[in-house]
Amino acid sequence: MSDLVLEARGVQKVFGEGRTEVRALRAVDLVVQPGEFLALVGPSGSGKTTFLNLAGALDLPTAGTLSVLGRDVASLSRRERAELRLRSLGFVFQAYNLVPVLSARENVEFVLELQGAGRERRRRAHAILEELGLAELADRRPAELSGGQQQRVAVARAVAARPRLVLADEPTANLDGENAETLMHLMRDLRDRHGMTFLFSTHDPRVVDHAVRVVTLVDGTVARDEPHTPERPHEILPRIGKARVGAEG
Amino acid sequence: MENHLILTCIILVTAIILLVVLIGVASAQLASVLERRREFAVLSALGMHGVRLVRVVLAEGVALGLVGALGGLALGGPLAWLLAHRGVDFTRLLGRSYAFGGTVIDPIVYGDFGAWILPETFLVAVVATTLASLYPAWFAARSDPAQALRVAQ
Repeated sequence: MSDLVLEARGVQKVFGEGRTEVRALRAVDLVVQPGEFLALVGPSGSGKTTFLNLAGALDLPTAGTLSVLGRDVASLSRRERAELRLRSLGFVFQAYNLVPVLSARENVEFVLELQGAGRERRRRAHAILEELGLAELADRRPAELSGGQQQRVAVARAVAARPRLVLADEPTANLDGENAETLMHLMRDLRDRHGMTFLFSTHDPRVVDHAVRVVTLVDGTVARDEPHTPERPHEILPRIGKARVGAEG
Repeated sequence: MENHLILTCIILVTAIILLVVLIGVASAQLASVLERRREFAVLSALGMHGVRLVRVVLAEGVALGLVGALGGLALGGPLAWLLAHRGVDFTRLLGRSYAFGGTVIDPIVYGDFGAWILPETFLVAVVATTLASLYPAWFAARSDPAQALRVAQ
């Protein structure tokens, strides 16, 4: 079994047929090693979300092979893909998507319950909320939390089961600059402490600053794939106005 | 023979009422599932597999059935009791003595009310709403989470 977290070879994704056909991904080749902190950038419609959905086993490629944690996604049944998501993948959504009727702690516990964590789930949920500085907010419901706090709870939910790969689709899109910074530091810390791999899409140059590697998608293909270091600042294309971005590596 | 005919009519009317209820509950449940497609997609992304999603929707159906049965009994129970004990008087319409096909019919019509009404109401309501929830549950479990997330964005 491969040690790679993700291996995409010639991955294509086509939606619709005939006149309505849209080629979201044309031929993506990408290899992600364990512990990477990888930003997927590119203009709207470049295929970032589509690729994240494939990487999260939420969708299947039309052509090519995609291996997630050594398993060929296309060969898995629906149930096996759900099991892969439950045991090994974490998701952070742009719109937080917390369960509104549950408290922050219960939102985290919910995933652990799905995993069959039993009585220890409360202790584990509390531990992760404490690690992310959310212990005091544990009993609050999402409506009683700010956007930044909700997204931190969403990160706690995503990493509670110690997934090997965390996928975040524009996690800072609804956050102000300060909260976006806090969230990215939090994710970097989690990656450093637990060795989790993070793959996130973004349009935000401040978020790209935190990435160790930046992959640029344009028209469904990988246009650039390079390490992100202060010596090699990354240029983000179209939507954010070709701003040159400094980096901290 | 006449009793048999009456029984057949009662069964037919009950079946039609049940069918209408089933279609009503199923369409309401389906609308609710469609409205919450994103929620189900998120649950699926978190790793909840199809069988569990089916259970969620069916549990809602059972809860709906129980609440419906309680509400139905609270509203319809006293009316059924009144119908059973006082009856509905059709004297003005039929006269004091009415015969049909050689059979004398009492112009005051009484309903039926007994202890059986509780278990029967609960059983019919819960079974009917659970059956009506089967298709919405299957629909929720088979929905494409990536598409649901895409559409909702």
